Amino acid sequence: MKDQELKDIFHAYRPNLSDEDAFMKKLSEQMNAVDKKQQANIVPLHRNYLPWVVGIAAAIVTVVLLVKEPETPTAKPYVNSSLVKNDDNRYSMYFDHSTYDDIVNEIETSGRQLEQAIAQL
Amino acid sequence: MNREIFTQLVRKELSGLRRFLLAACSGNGDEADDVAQEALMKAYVASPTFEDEAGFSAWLYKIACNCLIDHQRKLTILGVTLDIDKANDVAASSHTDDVFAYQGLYHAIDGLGMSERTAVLLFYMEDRSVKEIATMMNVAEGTVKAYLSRGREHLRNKLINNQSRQI
Repeated sequence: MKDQELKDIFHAYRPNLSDEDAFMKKLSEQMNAVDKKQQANIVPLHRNYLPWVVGIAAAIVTVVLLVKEPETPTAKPYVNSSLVKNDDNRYSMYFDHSTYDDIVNEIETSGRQLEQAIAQL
Repeated sequence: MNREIFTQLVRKELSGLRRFLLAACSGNGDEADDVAQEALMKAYVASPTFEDEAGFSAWLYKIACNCLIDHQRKLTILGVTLDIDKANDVAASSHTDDVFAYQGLYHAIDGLGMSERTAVLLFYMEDRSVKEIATMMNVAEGTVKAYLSRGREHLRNKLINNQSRQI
């Protein structure tokens, strides 16, 4: 019995499967079920990450709260400055031990000299 | 590969695939369709990552062969043997002589091991080349030739015996 004879026998007895549409319909239903299952699996996947997201957020907040912001130096108001009359610790713009009146007089003198110089010009 | 293309390609292969599985399951249509459904669903799940449309047929048959082997293993474990009388279902609408003829052929196939049976059916019934069968069965071409040689010898003896009994 040769190859071709065997082929002829098998081809002669090839069954005719007439229910192909019914088979495809069943297959399509199964494919729909698989698609739904896959879509359903995507949602829990996000949910699986939720504890991680919450944990990381909590860690960031904790770090932010624990690490204190360095205090910025507050500027002293001018009224509290050392330019206080008859104060031993007063600040002098020109030299030590000058009084508030000395400084005012110095400024007034300088102002007058400047006015004169301008007038001469 | 999306669902639309997968469905189109399956429609092209479905008839041959079911015919092959039907013969491999000794004419038991229910068993064959179960294996076909299982194979097609496995292929569908894997299809999004499979892009080689030209190699779809070989890929699908490869999956089907694996499903068939798994199915046979399950049946062996459960101690179930395929009933050759189920071959009646194959040609239920045919003449009585055809029914006997189908039974004779399936009886001859039934005596083959699963590997020889797969190779014989793909080669003689589905006209697949040795190279294609080797790819589908995941074995060397020489192994397929050996399967075919053993299968041919077995079928020759069985079919000649059947013919002599009928005479």
